[in-house]
Amino acid sequence: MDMITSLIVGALTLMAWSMLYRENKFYSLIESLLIGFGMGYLLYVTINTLNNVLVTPMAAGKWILIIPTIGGLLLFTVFIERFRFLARWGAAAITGTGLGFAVSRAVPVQILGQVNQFYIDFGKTDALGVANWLIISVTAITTILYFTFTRPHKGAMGTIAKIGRWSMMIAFGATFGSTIGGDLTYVIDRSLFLSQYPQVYLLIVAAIIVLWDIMRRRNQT
Amino acid sequence: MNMSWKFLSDNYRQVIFIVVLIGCFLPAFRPFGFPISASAQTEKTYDFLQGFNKGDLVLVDIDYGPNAWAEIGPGVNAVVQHLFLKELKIVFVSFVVDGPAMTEKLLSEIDTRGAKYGVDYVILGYIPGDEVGMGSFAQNPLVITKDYYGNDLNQYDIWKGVKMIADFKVFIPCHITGPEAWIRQFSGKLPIVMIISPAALSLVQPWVNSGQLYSMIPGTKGGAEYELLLGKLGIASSIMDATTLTLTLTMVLIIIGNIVYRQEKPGSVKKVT
Repeated sequence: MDMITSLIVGALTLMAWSMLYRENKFYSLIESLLIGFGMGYLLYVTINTLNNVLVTPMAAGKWILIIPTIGGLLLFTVFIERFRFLARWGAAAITGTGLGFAVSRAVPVQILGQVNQFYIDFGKTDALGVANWLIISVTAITTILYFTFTRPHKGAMGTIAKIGRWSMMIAFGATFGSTIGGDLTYVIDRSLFLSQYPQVYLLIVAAIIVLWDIMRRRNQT
Repeated sequence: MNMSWKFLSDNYRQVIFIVVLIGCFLPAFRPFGFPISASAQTEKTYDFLQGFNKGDLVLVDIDYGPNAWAEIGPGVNAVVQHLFLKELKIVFVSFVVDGPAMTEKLLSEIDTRGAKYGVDYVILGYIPGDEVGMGSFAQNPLVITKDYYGNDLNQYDIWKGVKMIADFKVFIPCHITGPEAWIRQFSGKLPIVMIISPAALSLVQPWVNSGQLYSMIPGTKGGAEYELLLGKLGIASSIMDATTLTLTLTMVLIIIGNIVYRQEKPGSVKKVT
């Protein structure tokens, strides 16, 4: 059974990779399979979750849950032109709750918590720590000032804005480099899988199919 | 222009694909065993979890789907393996739909050392609502009454030890997106060790610097370092071998690309399609 599973997974992986060669039916099939299975799983989890957080508690007498249920159902009025305005009530409830949760914690955590790291006790910090503090302070302040548009970016303000821009470019570059490194792991993970028995033989089959297609196309032209 | 340069210039896409595939496949057939050393953050995490006592409660949040497994999964495997080795009591939760399935995959890939469901670990399943769900759970974990399989949580021994979020010794969220929502809702309530995508490294570092996060593990790279500390080399170490080779080859390609660019006559540069 494991052998069949491995072969199926290996074949599906190669079908997805076949796009590197050219657009083909194998790739279209795997694309449809992925969307189909994804939607199926999503539906299963949604029904399961509704059962756990709504149906079962309501059946046990927790009738207060009728309020969020109505709010959720109102979203579907978007399909009826006459009652479309009611969908906004449901959307407003969802957005309002989300904002309430996020904003109430944003000030203490994202602003005050982050400002804390600008405090430094020079008596207890080594040279490297001071250098770090200096870099963080300069890059943070210059980046914030870069987004100040009420004054023209000329003279001293221009220099500050330029330092801010460079700071952001370094940060974006570091993020992009890490992203490339991270994305490689997707290919490597599949490569490690395909190099194992029995799916390793699928590589030969795939190579033969590609060669056959190249020759077939060459003969046609 | 030399013929070989011209060949590279005309077929650069194919050359890049082939070189990357060689870099990815070669270590799978013949491991190179490139040396890895544990970073300060990984060591800090390991020492922190190593200091826990048997039976301590920990909360692990699996918030990634199968599409992101290769980027973060091996790191999660290594850390959760450590939790089972320490015989801690683990509560798994998810705020993304794919999370529970990934939790089951995780448990099938590591040595749980005979841990019993409901006694040593439990899967709460998917909590909807995104940040609202996180906030509600952080305020009162007891809002959840059923596990992923629809069973009453009160029947499980592990759940009897949970009264509030502070009962957990550590919160370990594992995800590949920006960290703000998790930090907003859980910071200050319990120590947070975040397992993240290497791409989010620069986004997470400020939170570690400010002390709002205890530490972080950067995905598969961190997983390889963690495996080294555990003394159990696994999938993360294998992936890092190929990553090192492929990134080295990529750097060589960048150098060659620049040489080819310089070799071309002015005005003959093709547009990248």
